[in-house]
Amino acid sequence: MAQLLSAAESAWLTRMQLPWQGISPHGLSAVRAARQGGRSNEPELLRPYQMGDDVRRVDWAATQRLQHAMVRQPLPQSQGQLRIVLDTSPSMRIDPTKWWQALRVAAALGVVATSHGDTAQLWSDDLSSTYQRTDAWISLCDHVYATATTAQPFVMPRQLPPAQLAVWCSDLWHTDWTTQLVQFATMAQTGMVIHLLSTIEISPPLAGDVTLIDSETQQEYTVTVDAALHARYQAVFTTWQADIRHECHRLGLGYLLVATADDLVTALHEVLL
Amino acid sequence: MSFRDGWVWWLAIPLLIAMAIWHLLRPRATRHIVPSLQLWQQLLHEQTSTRPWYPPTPWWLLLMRLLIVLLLAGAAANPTVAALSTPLHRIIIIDTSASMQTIEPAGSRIAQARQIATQIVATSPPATTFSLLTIDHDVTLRASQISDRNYLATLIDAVHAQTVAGDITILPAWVAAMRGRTSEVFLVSDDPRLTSQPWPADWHLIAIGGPVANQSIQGCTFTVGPTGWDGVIRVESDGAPFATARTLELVDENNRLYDATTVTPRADATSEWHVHLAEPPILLHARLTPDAQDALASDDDCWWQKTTPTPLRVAVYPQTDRFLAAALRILPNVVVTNQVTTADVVIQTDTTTVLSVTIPLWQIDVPSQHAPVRLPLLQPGILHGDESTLDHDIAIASSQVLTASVLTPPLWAQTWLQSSAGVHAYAGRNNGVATVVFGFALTNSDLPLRSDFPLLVRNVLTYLAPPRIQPSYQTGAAVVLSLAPNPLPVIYEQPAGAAARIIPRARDVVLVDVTKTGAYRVNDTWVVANLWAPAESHVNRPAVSTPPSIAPSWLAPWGLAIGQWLLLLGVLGLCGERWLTWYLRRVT
Repeated sequence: MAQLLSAAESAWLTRMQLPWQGISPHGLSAVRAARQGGRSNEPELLRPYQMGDDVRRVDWAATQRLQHAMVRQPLPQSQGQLRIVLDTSPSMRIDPTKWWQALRVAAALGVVATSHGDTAQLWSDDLSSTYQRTDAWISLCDHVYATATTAQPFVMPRQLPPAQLAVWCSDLWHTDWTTQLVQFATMAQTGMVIHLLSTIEISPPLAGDVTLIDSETQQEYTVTVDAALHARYQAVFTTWQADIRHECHRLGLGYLLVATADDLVTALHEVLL
Repeated sequence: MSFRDGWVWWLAIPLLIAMAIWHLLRPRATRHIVPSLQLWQQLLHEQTSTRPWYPPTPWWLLLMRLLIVLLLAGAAANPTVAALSTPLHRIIIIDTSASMQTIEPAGSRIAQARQIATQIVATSPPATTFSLLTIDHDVTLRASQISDRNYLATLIDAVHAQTVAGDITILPAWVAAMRGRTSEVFLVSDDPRLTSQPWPADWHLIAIGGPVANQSIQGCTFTVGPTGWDGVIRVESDGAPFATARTLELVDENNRLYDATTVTPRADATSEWHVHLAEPPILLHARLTPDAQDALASDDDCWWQKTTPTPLRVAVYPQTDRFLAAALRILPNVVVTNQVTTADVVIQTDTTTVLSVTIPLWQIDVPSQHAPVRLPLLQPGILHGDESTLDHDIAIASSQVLTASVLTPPLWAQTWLQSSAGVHAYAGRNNGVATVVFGFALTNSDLPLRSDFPLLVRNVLTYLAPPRIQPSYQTGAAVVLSLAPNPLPVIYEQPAGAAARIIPRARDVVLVDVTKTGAYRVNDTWVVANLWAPAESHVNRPAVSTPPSIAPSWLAPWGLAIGQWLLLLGVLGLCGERWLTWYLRRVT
């Protein structure tokens, strides 16, 4: 099996930093709180409101933005944590290059975190592991790439402790992607959505009579694909992607479209410092 | 079932082949696993609505489409049902009674009957079947529905006259049991009842022979006497004993038969009968009644009218002669009736008026003088001027007439038909009135059997009453009318008055409707489309090759023709196919 990351890519990644690593030792949210004129410079994180919380700690701006009651909580003095939520639904593994690219992205982000002493957590439907060593992280990604076999649709995890940075790597081919985005937004101080799509999803190489089979529901649909239908698909696809991008911005999430044909260094350049 | 516009199939067959090839060579649907169908499903309804002609996927849908094309092509090909185009069945009946042994100048009557029967067979359409019957004291079926003409000719040659008296009155009931809808009956006989009693209207009655007893009435005159009116009827005999002569009947205008006792033969009883009436009727008809072997002839009659009679224009115009009746309908302002009205010109047989014309546009006249000639061989005379139109497009040479009078053309006339015996028809303008005079009955000649007989009628009518337009007629062919370009159907009126239509496909409209005999009208223009009848013409009937588009009753409920049914089924099938296509392409 080929390695997820080449030696050159690994070397480049060890020189990169995650956002909190390069800006503040206390994390990105603390920097934001200071820039926004917060009451103190203590590092804080946002988490959902729970029974018993002091209502004076409610962050009303975040509550309005996220449509959930959010409270500020002093950040525990600990090392940074990167949480990667990996979509392992069948639609992610329909194209080997797409699944390969998803694990490369996860491995690359984990390498950046662990190489600076932070911890990296990989969360999927049947896995939740935290690593601080780079080699162990790479081995985990290799294992997940080779063994993921779930045939169930993706379900966003609930009741996870907040992390400094959470990255959701998914193709978002879910009918309830808006709900899942809201749930993901409450998961970390800073959230990032990496919208991973293969080239055949962006521009399907179909022509003539084709029977399309849904990878998750096995539903079939026979259609004749011609130039006009291609154009219509492109228009619908663009609208769909724009809706996702707009929703991410509304929730304060970062959005990055990564295609399977994209170079990893170029794709992550916007995320890493 | 046959098709009038068979060329449509030459367009439909390549289309069917193309559809089948298109179906066989179409790209097969390949299966692709996609992450999700949510974006594709948004395109579904637009896809199905913008591409109605979706490639046929299931084989039965292709069969359905092929069937629809077949139905529509069948409707466009103008189908006809073969029920009415079954081969013609002709029943030939030859009288073999003892009177048929009579020898006449043209030969024995039975030989004439055999010749006529042979001619009927020879002039029949190819697919005709024949039945041959002979009638003397009983009916003998000699052949039943055979098509072998050589064998039939042998049977006809074997027909000989018997020595018993015949009774042809039993024939209608006998024939009714064996004739079908497409049967035609030809009765060849010398029986006088052939003309004296009613027969089925569609029977072709062919009378042969003449009176046996050469006795004829030469005239009857009445003079006023002291006690009443004394009449003298002069009867000439060719030497036969008067005791064997026929009896003399006297009938007045009210069909009252006068007592025979008032009829007293003279002592010598050779040629003159006397009658005494206290008060003579207005019209008295004296006639020699026929015997069993005789037929009434025109010279057996004598008419006496109380008032001074005016010359009566008489045309021998049998009621079965439908050519003139049909042709007259093409003339404007001409009414054909069966009753005498205020007619200026009366066309009648010797005893019965069959036609009257309300406007004296023309006349057909037979002169009163009789000089009968048996079987003259007609030859055309030399016509010039307006009369030359009588010979247009026809060839009368060698035409035969059974009996014709020798006419003496007046100074204003030109000889039209003649034979070695003299002139038999002439034409000219008598005081400006176009006149054609025939010395024979048309149906006593073989002219109706000739293909150009309708043209002869046309020529006569055109000469007597020139139509406003003169379309080009050709026997047995289509009548072509040049019309202005018009995308709308051309409505034409059939002889019976029913309206039909033609779909113009070019500048010229070709009317090839031979389903009715008579005159057709297209755009207020009368044309003669089909003046000939099967019995009188030896032209192969177009109706055999192009049968009329009339479906049997079980095929044409609600008055729809077979083509309309095919069109209706095709349209319904097309609607069903459209729905199935939509149904198959919708999201399931």
